Amino acid sequence: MSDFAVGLISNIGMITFVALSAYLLLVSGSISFGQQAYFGLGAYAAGIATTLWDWPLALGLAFGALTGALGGGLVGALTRRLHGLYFAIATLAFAEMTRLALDLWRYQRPIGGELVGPDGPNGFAGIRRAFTDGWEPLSFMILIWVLLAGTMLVLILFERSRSGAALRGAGEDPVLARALGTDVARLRVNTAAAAGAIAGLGGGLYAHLNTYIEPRLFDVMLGVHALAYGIIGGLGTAFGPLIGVLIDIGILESSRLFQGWRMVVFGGLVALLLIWRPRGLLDEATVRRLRRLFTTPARHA
Amino acid sequence: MIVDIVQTLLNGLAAGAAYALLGVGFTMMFGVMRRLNLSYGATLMFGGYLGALLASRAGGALPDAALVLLAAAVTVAGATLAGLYVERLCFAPLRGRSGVAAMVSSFAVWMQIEEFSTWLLPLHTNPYPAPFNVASWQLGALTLRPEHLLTLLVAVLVAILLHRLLRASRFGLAVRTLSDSPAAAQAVGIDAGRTTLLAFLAASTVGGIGAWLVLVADQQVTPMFGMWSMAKGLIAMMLGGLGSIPGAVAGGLLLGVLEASGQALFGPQIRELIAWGALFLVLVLRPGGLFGRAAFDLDIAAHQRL
Amino acid sequence: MLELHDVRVRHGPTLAVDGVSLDLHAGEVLALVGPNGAGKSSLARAIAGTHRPIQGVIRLAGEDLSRLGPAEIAARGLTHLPEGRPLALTLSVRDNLLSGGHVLGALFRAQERLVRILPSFPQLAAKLEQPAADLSGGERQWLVVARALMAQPKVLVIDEPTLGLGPRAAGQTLETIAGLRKDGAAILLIEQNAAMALAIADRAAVMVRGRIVAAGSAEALRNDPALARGYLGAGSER
Repeated sequence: MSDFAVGLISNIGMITFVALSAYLLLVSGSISFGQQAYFGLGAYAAGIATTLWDWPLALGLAFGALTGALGGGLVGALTRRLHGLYFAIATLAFAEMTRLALDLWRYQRPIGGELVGPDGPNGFAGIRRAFTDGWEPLSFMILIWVLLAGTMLVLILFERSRSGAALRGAGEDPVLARALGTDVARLRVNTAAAAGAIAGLGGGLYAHLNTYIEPRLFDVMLGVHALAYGIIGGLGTAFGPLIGVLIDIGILESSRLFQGWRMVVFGGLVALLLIWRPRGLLDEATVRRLRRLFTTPARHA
Repeated sequence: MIVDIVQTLLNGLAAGAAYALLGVGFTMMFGVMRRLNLSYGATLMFGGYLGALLASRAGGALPDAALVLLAAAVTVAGATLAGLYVERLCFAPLRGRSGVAAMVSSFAVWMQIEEFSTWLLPLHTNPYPAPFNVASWQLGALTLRPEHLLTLLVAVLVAILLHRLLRASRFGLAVRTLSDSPAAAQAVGIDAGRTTLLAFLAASTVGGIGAWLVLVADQQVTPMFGMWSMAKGLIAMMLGGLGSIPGAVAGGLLLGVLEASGQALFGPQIRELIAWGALFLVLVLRPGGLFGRAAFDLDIAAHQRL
Repeated sequence: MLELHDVRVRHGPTLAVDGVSLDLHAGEVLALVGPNGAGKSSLARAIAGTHRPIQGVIRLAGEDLSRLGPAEIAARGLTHLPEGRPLALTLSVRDNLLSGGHVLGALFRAQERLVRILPSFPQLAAKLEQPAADLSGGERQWLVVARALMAQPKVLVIDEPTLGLGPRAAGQTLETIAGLRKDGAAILLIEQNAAMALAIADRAAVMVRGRIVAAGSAEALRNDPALARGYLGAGSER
């Protein structure tokens, strides 16, 4: 496989983590513009753990996910009274605060004769743990996709469970869900923490693949893209965000078909798509239809 | 000491007056649609780019005063025109349907307008025609910058006109009724589609004037202007209380003063952090905004009615 | 003034209105009564243009309304008072009233009209500058009625004006509505509380499962024992 293809497929996988993170909140009825914060926190935490504290890669990634979960849970708890737009803007404010704070943060140590660690706006270079441990770009790509597949499997199983149904119910009608005995506030905090963990895991992978991160990478653009991917792909299934990422990065960016005009074309297409299908390509009705298509023959056999 | 405080306050209020206009435009759009227009900043950037484009093409051929006025007209008209495009493509077809879809659609169009603008002027920094040759006047120990006075003057003028339009005209009453309750607007025969479109265009115009004031002070426009102006408009709107136009004015002024004092006390790096931090705190502690709770309470009431 | 001919309205999967024909004349109150879910409100929405019928003709003063939107229908003199008393709660009572004059054109026309109708609503005149949110349920209903009068309507379609009101406020509301007749307006009054509606109406029609099952003078329907048991009884149990 060419380096270009490996890089592209790895990128699609990592961005899908942020998109899944935004999707999970969206399904629970919350719009977040701020999932890039947990992606960034996960990237910094995992990078610091493996580079400055010399932790093994697996622990570093877990630490990244945990940091994402703590950040998501904290914001979720602080904003549990907020709904709709208020929540969305609070997440955006927190994400921008995080990015600007990372711009000010310096935490460096000499390692192998040079200073390593977060250096404000100059970023954090030399996160080489994955490659000194013997990971190749190809094997790291496979690692990303195995973890992504695992995350999606958990999400899909969760969506089919009773708690998953409760989550979707709370998203569609919180008042009804409350009347049916769901603790909506707690559910929302837990969901925010889980979404933070997913983004944090993706961030840890991102830091170790790129070996260099800087605060600027985790700006609003990433967050709103993540949100948009879920809606373009469809709110019916956890495959939706992946499809959204595939359409944008996989087809439009990689093909360089509309070089220089990509955003003009992509933006127009998305706007038209949403007039036609306001809940994305794979919306709930389509998912039900597809599921029926695949389950009916089995029943006859 | 006192002079420093007054100076900071003055700088803050001048910047805040422009933020207030950015916030008022955003608030009017939100009011009639109950939707967040993410491409708001991009439409203002488009207007700014048209003004800069005019300067780069016709700069030598026109007298300075004519260029400044023409750039102002082109910027405001460009922002309004881009607003028309956004309303027709993202919001009108989805009216009464998914709010998230409309928002994401407006985000997609943000990308579109931004790329189109940078295609017009590919350089990162583009000079924007400014009306003043004097850098500043000294008034005792105070420094007065002419663009600050211009900003304050224009902002007050726009605020008065807008107040007249909203309080003392049939269109203004229709906008306020629709913003408060679409059902009440329908019951009295207000055409929601038409009123939304016109209010959207008026809001784009107000935002365009705010953008012009900022660009005149900066004397340049960059591709960051879309994101920047949306952030300022958004913070001004939310600080004052979502949906309240006087709130947005107060929120914009407060934001200007907060930023100026933050910068004076802690340096320019802290400036932006303070703005977002203040917004986060207000949302967590007093989500209805500092100056009114009306919209938030109505929102809560609407949810409880379910 | 208002003619309906064979109107059918679909509401989701069901046919909510199944072939209704009605005539409403200037200066009369026609009560449309019937049990919950009979399709009365769907019919009102179809008349106001907020929900398109799938079949049938609706004419206002001879003009076919089927191609007009709700705002255009309102501009032709038909005012719909929907269920739920929608008001702009943060706006003042005065602004709510003025908004009722939207169809009159320039704002000063609405202001002139307000001066004319305000004496009939002394309760509102005292609270003109207060936000509508401060009003009681009964006062809100008067505000809705007064706001509708601001438009100088030829036809008023009033949906469930007494819903949620105490008996006293309900009675006063219906009296106010009955009083509107003398201005020459044609009033279609939709009520579940059949006894109260029939007491003030000139004519009445009973609607059950999308169809008109009985129609006649209000007095005749009031005294029809079969109807009183079968339909009206069911309607007033609520």
